[in-house]
Amino acid sequence: MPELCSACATMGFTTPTPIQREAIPNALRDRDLIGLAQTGSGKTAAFSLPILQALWKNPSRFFACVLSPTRELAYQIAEQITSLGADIGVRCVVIVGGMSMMDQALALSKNPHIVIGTPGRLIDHLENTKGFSLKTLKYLVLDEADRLLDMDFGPAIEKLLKAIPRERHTYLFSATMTTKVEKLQKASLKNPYKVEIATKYSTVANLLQYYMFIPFKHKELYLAYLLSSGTHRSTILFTYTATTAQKLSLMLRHLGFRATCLYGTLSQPKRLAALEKFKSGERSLLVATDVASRGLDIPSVDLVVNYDVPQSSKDYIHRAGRTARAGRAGKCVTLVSQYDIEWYQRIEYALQKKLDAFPVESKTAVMALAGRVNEALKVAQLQLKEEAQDRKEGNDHSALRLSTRR
Amino acid sequence: MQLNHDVIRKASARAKARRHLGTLQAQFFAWLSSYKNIYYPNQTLENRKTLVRTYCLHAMRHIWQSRQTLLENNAALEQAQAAAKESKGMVPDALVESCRDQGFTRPRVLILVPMKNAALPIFQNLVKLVRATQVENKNRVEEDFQGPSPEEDEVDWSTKPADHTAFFKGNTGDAFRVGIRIGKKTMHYYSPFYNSDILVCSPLGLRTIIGVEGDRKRESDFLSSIEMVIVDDMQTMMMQNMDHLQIILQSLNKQPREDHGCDISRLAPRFTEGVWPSLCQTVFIGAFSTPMMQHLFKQHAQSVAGTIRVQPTYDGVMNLATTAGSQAFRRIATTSLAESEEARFAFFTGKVMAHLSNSVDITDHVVLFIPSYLDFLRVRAWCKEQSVNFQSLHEYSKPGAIVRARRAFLRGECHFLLVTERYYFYHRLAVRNVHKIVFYALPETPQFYPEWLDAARPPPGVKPQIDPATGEPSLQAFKSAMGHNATILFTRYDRLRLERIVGTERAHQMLTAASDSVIFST
Repeated sequence: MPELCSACATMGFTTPTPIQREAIPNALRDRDLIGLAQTGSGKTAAFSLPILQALWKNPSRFFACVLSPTRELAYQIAEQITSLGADIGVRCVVIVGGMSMMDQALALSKNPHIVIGTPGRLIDHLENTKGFSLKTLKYLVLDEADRLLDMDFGPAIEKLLKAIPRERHTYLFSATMTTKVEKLQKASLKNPYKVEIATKYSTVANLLQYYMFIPFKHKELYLAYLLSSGTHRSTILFTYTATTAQKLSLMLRHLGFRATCLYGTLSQPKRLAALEKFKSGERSLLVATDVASRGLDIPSVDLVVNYDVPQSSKDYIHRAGRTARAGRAGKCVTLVSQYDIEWYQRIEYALQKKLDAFPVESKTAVMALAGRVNEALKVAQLQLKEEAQDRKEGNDHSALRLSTRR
Repeated sequence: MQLNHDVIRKASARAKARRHLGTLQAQFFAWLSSYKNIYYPNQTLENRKTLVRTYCLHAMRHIWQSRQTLLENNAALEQAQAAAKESKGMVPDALVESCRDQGFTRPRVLILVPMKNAALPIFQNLVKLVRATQVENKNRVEEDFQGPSPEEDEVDWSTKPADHTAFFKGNTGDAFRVGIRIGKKTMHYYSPFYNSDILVCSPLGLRTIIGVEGDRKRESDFLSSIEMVIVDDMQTMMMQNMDHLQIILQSLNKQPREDHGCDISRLAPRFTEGVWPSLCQTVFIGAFSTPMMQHLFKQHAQSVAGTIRVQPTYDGVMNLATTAGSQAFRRIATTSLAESEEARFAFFTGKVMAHLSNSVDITDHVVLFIPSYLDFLRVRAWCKEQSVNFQSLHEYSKPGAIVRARRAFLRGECHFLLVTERYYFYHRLAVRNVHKIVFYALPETPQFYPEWLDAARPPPGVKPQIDPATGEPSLQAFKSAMGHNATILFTRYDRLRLERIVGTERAHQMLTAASDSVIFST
């Protein structure tokens, strides 16, 4: 189809990735799909192109629905579909939590072709927004199915499957195949074609992986050393908790890094804003929890740092998958303290690979940073404390303001 | 021949209809049905009823038409759904699309009137138009909107001018809001707003629901799909708080915060495309036009259908005054609106007051008529500073203070009486024993001018001098002793008020003439 071809060309897609080569012809033959592929392998285009082509032949409202586990990923998919389908005039709408229900209802009333969303909010609309139904749906896509099921979206997906017609095409994508995913597949797919590109646990070849064995006491020090040691354009730093993410981003800002942070408890507009700043290059360092570990496609990222060792090998693969995307080179460094050895070894076992130690010049070079880093850390902790205090008092203030106004 | 015959028959039918409607009604109805914005500052005591009847008819027709479409579409959809169920197919997209006919919320028409006595004729007209066999809450409306009975009424209406009686007789409550639901042959007063077709409200009554930014309980979603807003009796609203009206107009046709059970598959395209605010018809009706009204209209009448502005010409009301006397109009030179208030105040204190206090013997009873309360405050502060002997009557005066001030002035205990226009609008009590009157600015309401002019009579003690040459009373000497009965200050920004009082043509002359002082003697 010429329109889609030219859209691909403008987006710089010249040769199909393995998953696209396998998936697209079979999808065009009207078959259901299961895609098992590593992140960054071009999954989004693999399912969007067949859908867009079918839409072009038979345009109708609420043609396809894409489910994604996170809000950010939903926006990213919508962006890609919109640019792929720009020439055929496709209308997408993103339905995720944290945004105004009324705005979304209004967007839905415009009869969009493709709905992209997170399951919870989508069900909310199906149940509460009068006049909205997905009875005309022809395509259903479950992206990152393993994560969808992990995040307890199971009941919501079940409800959704009941609300949409059985006569439809279903595409299921997952980075990893778990028993839950298998169950879902049996429930929702008919005679699917299975595309499996990579073996179970793996990362891409052009990714350099290191570990850094360090004393727990000096974790921040080594982090600062690591970040200042090389020239990186964009870095994502993963932590286990939101508090650590906040603390580190404050500390790094004091040290002169342009850092921003992203975690689940931030409001949706703030999350989008943080991500936008990072994507546009205004901020070169993103400190994030696992909300950012999947699906985000930011090509310029060339370093991923695991400040805390990931809880599972799956998480490790997803985190590492944020760099070295689409054929580019990337580095992933995991900080391992004396308490994390067991976790780390499990990951190495799963990867079936021994990682190299990250070359540290000398211990003295690291210790030289101690003064500045400790000071920044203190300032950051103080700031956090004050913020928490402010929030407490801030509530009182706003109550006061209301009462005086009245 | 056939064709001609048809044309003639149609024309005669139209003529008949016009006769039946009356000329004004036919004209006004034609304007309304064009769905253009209408600015009609030409309401009179005579045409007031006709205007109400006409816009009620228009509003009802609008509601009926939308209701008819709605019912037809409901039936079509139901039929299609039944057919789809039988054949296990889907309702065709084209049909669903063609049945998009609703807004976010139900109310389509908003009618704003200043007081309860003005809402009552609207209700009566609507009942008549619906030919309702069943009217819910009829008694409640009658109870709420009824005026005091003739025995209870404290006001002696025979002493009041006709326009005052027209606006103030009956229930003058200014905080009410009534939702009206229209059925086939039924009408329901006080229906919940989200279930109403027409809202009849006073600005204050509606504003208390809309609230202000920061209020915990505020609600304006029901104003999100208004297709017609009619503001009647603007001149009375001018005397109320115009802020309310402004805020109401600002909160019309905003995207609602919640969906209130709105069916998004029936949402009309103008709503989904976000252009519905520019399809709302705005109608302003008043007895006269003021810059504030013009501004509000310009800002909020957004309909793309266009605008009809009526611009009446006036003959003036100077000949309505029965007392002989001279009126001196003083034009104050200003270059900008912002400066004009400053210039007026300077002229008033520097020239007028200085002149009055120099000619002490005849300054016994001078009324200073100051239309705006803000100007009043400024002048009052100045008078206190200069220890002028004065009393004041303004819109916030307590009844006791009014009695005291009037008595003091009547007995000559004070030389000056400050009066604001709002005070006079609401009380319409003539002040006796006035020798001179100064209009700090002209009143918005033209009738007030001759009424005050009549109140100002020369003091009984002053006798015209006899001209020794002719043995006749000398007019010249008489006048110089008297000064002028009335002194009026105006600037070039007062054109609208001026033309209502002196007449359109003369106002133009006075504003463009080289001399900045005009004296009329009668």
